[in-house]
Amino acid sequence: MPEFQISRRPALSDKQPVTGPGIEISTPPPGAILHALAQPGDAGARGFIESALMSDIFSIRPVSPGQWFSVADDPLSHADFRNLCEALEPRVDLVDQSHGRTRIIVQGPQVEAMLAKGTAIDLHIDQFTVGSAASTLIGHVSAHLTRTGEHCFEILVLRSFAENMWDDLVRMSREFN
Amino acid sequence: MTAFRLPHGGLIDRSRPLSFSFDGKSMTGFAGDTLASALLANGRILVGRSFKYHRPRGILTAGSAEPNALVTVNTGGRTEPNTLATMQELHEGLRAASQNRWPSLAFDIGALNGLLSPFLGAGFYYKTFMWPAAFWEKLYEPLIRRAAGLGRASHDADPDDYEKCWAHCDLLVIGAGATGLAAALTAGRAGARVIVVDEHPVAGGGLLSETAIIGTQAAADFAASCATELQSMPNVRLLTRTTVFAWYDGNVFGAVERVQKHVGFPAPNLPVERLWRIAAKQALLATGAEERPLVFGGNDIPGVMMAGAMRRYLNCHGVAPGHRVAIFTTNDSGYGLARDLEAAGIVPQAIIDSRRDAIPDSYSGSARVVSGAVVSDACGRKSLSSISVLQNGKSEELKVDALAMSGGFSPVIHLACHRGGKPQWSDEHAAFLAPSSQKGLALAGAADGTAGLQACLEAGVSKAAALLGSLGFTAKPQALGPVEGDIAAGPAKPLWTIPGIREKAFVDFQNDVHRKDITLATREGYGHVELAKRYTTTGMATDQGKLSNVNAIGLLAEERGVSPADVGTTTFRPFYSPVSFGALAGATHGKHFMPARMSPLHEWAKKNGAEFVEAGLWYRSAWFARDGESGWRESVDREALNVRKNAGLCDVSTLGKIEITGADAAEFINRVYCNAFLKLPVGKARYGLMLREDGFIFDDGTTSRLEENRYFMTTTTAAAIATMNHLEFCAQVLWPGLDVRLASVTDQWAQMAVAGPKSRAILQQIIDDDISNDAFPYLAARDVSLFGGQVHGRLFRISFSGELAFELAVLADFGEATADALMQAGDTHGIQPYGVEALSVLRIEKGHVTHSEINGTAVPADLGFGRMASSAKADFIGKHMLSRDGLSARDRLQLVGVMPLDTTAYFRSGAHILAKDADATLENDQGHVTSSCYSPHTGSHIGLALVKGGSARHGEEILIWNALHGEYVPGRLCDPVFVDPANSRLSM
Amino acid sequence: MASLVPCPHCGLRPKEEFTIKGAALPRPSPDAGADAWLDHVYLRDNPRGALDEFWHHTSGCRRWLIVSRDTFSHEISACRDAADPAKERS
Repeated sequence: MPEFQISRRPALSDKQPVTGPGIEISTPPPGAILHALAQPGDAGARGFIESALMSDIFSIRPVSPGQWFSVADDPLSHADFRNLCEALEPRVDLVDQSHGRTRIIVQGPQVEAMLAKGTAIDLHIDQFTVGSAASTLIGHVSAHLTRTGEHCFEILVLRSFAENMWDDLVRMSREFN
Repeated sequence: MTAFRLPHGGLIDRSRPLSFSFDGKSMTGFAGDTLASALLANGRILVGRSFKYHRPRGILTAGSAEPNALVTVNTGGRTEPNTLATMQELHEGLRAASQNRWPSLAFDIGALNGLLSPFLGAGFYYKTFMWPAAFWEKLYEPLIRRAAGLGRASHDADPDDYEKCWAHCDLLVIGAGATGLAAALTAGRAGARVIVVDEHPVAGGGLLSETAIIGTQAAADFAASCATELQSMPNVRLLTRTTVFAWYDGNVFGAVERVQKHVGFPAPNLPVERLWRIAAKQALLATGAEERPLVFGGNDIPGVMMAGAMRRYLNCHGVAPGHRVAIFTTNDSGYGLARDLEAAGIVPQAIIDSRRDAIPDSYSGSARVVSGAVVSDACGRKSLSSISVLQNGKSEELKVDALAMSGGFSPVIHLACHRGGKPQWSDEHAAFLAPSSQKGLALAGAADGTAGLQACLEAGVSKAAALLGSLGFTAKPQALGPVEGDIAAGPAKPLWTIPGIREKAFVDFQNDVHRKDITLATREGYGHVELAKRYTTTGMATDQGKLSNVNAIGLLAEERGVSPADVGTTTFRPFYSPVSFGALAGATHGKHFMPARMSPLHEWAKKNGAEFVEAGLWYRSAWFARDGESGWRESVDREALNVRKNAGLCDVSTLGKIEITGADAAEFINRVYCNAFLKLPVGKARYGLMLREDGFIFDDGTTSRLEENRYFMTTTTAAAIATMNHLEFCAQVLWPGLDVRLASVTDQWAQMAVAGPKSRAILQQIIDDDISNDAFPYLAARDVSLFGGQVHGRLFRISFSGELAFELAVLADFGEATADALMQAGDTHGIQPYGVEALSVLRIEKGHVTHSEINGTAVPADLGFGRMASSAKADFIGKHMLSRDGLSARDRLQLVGVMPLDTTAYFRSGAHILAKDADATLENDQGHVTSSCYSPHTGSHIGLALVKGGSARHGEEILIWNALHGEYVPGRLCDPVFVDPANSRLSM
Repeated sequence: MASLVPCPHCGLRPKEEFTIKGAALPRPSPDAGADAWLDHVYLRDNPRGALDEFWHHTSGCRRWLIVSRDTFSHEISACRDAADPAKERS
């Protein structure tokens, strides 16, 4: 068997981060994004997931009744993924979305004003507190938005729309930088 | 003599002169001027020609209701026709031009229409241009369009950016005049999230033209300190230069902010306009009131102006309207103007008051007051020279160069009526008021019929406090004021019909509707307000009748001898004032018109020479051109032949992919497909057909069982989103009791079709698992390991081309590296990339259907899938309508192949199938070609067609007829499978 | 241009995030007979006033909802997850 050089090419791998006084836009190195699915009425499912996934590695973001994204900064091997599946099934099924979703971090003092150009969600910190997460339209593209800090948000977008989202965010940020 | 700049006074910055041009003539104004005030200051009172009669027109108002002073500003792609000179802020280098005149504003040929006016009355369109009918399109309409009309749009692309934005607040205050400022301060101080919007560049509204004292401050200074306090509050946003143009469902307000319409050179990092959608828990309309014109003869002659507008130019811009000024009023408004004119050294020639003995106590000026009198006519050609005053049946002529008029006030209630509420006539207020008690919206101040500054300030405070109370805030109302020196203009008896008129008396200035048109409409049976509007066109211009509607209603009422309450109003609809297409489009134009969706193999395809085609939002590789190829057909033929001879690699990542898990996944899948899935073994794929509930085919694809309770479904690219929504509907709504979980994984996997007799040999070089025919037979589907465990993938032995073929899915970020490796591994085997054009050729050759055949009118039997629909299953989507008689009729359109008798002949999709000797008419239509291509394998054009009773007509000679292109191709119906009908190549 | 739908899971969201299927009607039982199925698939009331509809929060939680709205005033009186009443029915 010949030797093949196999390297990852994440979406946005050719994008330079945007920096400026108002807004910073960046995409972190690829990590793990696991889609956890329980039955919608399973009240204890979230706790069950948290107990199985180490909280210092994974942070849990609500997506929908019975569905969460578990996001980690480091990639997960297929074997490790299978192990997690076995730990959670059949109560919770995991689907790997690590390659299917692209993470974009937007932050800075003007970040709420910038995101208001895309989403109808009221991002006032009293309404959308740190840790709040929601799926929403940003412009014409669906995305999952999490407030990770006072002026810091994580966007999870379908990989195929990542470049489009990036370009939109750069345009939306222009007046603040 | 005419308008001029006063030596001092006004809120303009006289230290910042600005040069601008109007119709090519250079002029100078000051910072703080509008184009209108600067034109007046330069003595320019003729600014446009009217729509129909091309009459000379001047500046009538000082705001967004202006019907006359429409100009074109800027040049090239920034050309903005129909800009209101009264709203356009002056900036250095502004270039403005008048409209609707030829060859020049002063000498306009179209003014001859004035002589034809007996023929151009109400309904003239309907009466004059009736016949012959053919003349309408060719002669009448172009003629009318050239003569009548507004400015002309530029053909150049707009170089500037626009954007949209959401905003949220507890209280939205619309209008930053006395009422709005008082309300916003009250709410802001209570800690509520407040947005205050005003269409002018500076907050203050009527306060800016007011000379009263509020507390210890001049009114304008009071407005400025209110604005400063509001801007200092983090919970308050003050949006100036912003017009709220609509009230929508959910208490969302549409507003347009003119971010950079007041500058000569827009900054590139800012939009020129921003469209706001403001979601407000409560809204307060503090939009004030519009002063009504009076309908006397010649009321449109340049020099006639609204009294409030004259006062604004005087006090705000330091511009005097003329040297000999008269005021015609029905209420106290005229006296405030008279007082301020006198303070500026211009004693009015006369105040003509339609009331008797009604001089307000607060007026102590020296102007002559003519009580119980009217102005019946104004005279002059391009500017006002005199007026006829009628008192007690006696007419007196006064030489004047400016005339102010005030017919009372109409509260600006448009927004409050955008959601179906009807305005209510109030005799007490002599005006239409907003419908009462609407959820989420209240009115205060002049918009609510309140008169006087003190009362407006109090209303703003108390209404805001009440609205905040309903939201759970505790507002501590603080009184503002006291107000000194205000001449409050309370309601007065309206003056609709003025006696003694000789000249045209205009009701709708912008559409040139005059009083006799209203009379005519009533006489001819079009007196209903909705009919009168359309018959006379009153209120139908770009100003939407802001000034004219109420006068038209008043006149209709008097013509018909009823109250305005009985006439009613026409319907108020968004937009309150025109909104540019740029703002409505926002950032979505050009390249960003639609989101672009990129495959994980996009870069791979690009570097292999792909030409891309848009498929929905996706960019798919269509073909891969090579040097020396003369056109796309040559590339596609090569790619298709190479798949049948060697192997090809095609990006199929755009197929919809859905992972289905849960204890009842098998049962669920069995119910959504028409064919049986319950017994699909682990490790196997199966073709599945999804129906709609009406029995027609919805989509097709394959579903593989990867584990006991884990399935991987693929859908077509086109129906991927609809299928996911449909499956969620089935799972959540139809069968919520089933334990089934759905995750879209379209983007997780880069998926490649590797097809052709050499495909296995190539794939085996990168796949660790054994994929021999025994280990991995046709329809096998399993997780695989690649590159010695470096990459995880899923392999499916399925074929769209009819050849030995696989679809390999790898984690998306590894897609490009894997495709590169396959090209490297396949080099000696002759692998070539192929695009969706070759893919389509291969599937047509094999008789495989796509959405060209699954076109919403086909049931399974029509496409040869009749036996797939399982009669053994008790239930599946579509089962219960599928057995209808009509869906099994023998003459239904059924899938067949079609070939030309002459193998060099060409035909195309969409062509009709006719019986061999039938006349080429649609009555003889037997069906149509759904897909067609040149088949390099058969050496002929081939096609798939849906033909009446087609499955029983193989071998029949027919005519392929394309009427649009005049093509008649003799052909033959045949089996739709052109390649390997026995499917022997699939299981090599 | 705008309206807001109170998604029970996501809060107020603009209508652009939703896909509308039509009247919220229960699916007939498999053995309901041809007339019942014909009614279900093809016949719809078009009331002026209250109407329950299936709305899918496509760009949000992806749940199917039953939106009760007034076809004349556009007022939304209730919005609930479609799975909730369906469970009670069966």
